[in-house]
Amino acid sequence: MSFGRILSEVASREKRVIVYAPDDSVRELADVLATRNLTIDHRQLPAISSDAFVVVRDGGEFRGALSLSDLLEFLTPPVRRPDDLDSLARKHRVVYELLDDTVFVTLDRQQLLATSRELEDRAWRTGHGRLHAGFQRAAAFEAQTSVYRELATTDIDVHVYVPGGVSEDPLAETPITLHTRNGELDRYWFILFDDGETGAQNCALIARETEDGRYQGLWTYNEELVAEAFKTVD
Amino acid sequence: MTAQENRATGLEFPSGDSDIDYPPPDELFKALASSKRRRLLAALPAQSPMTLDELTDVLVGWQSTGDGPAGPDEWAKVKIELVHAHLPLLVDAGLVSCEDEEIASTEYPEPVEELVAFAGEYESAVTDR
Repeated sequence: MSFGRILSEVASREKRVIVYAPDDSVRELADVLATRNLTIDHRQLPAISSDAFVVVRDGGEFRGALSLSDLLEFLTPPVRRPDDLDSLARKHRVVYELLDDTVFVTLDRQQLLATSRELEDRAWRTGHGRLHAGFQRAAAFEAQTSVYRELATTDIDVHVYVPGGVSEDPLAETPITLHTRNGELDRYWFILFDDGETGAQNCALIARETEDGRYQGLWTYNEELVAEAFKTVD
Repeated sequence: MTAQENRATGLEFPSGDSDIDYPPPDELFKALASSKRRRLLAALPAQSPMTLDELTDVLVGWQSTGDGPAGPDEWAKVKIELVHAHLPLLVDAGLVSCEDEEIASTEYPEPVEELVAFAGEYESAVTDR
């Protein structure tokens, strides 16, 4: 399955977000989320009770709940992107897991960088397996060399895709494999990670730039989808 | 027939009216002696019943506004607590009815209504500080 097929396949899966709020804060959320496959419902809470919160359900199953303010903080750029690996707040990890398999229509660079970091961080904590990362331009890759240098110290087999390559490969001393001519793949910003064992840490991010410089894409922890995505690079 | 008026609170308990079902005091105060049950009473609208799953969603979501995000494990735990502890207690006190998976609050006698409302307001006033 090509990356494009994966994006459209996931767009057809329905997920529900139920906003419980004493007021009409649901509109705000619909604007910020801008997705293809999330239905947003609103339920009134008694005025005296709780702050607004959000429940995510997937095919009728409860996936998670969090306060609306936590969710908005996560969604509203700039998303904080910690420089060191393994320092993402637990709160944010949960939000990534809640919103996986959601096709976002408009993600900006900051949000994608933050999501990439969550995936790179997951790989780094796992410490083994294989990771394939695609950058659309050399500058984007060069900005991430410190992260990839750290990943190179693990047992992970790392492959990096940079169209046209980089002038002085900053990772030449590392075991990282650089791919420079990749056809269709060059249009995508992607990270695919397979933990090489149980698959519990497998994850993927696939995004494509739209005309206005924003991105459309998704991230997933679904093993089948990650396996499909790997078929595209293998 | 005269209304018995409590001098300290001004609550009115119509006397001699045997049609009104007052919850026994121990059961009533026990029902209010847990934050989950107070929240449950605050969230349950008298008119529209909720399913057990919806009620669990609300309690877990409400909890997440203070304790941070919650996942399916927490949800399952809260649902079990509801079924085995909180709901039976509230049903025994006559504050909640459960029929065919539908849960609703009953119509309370006025003093009980005020007490439940007070418990909710007290909770949010004291815990939001």
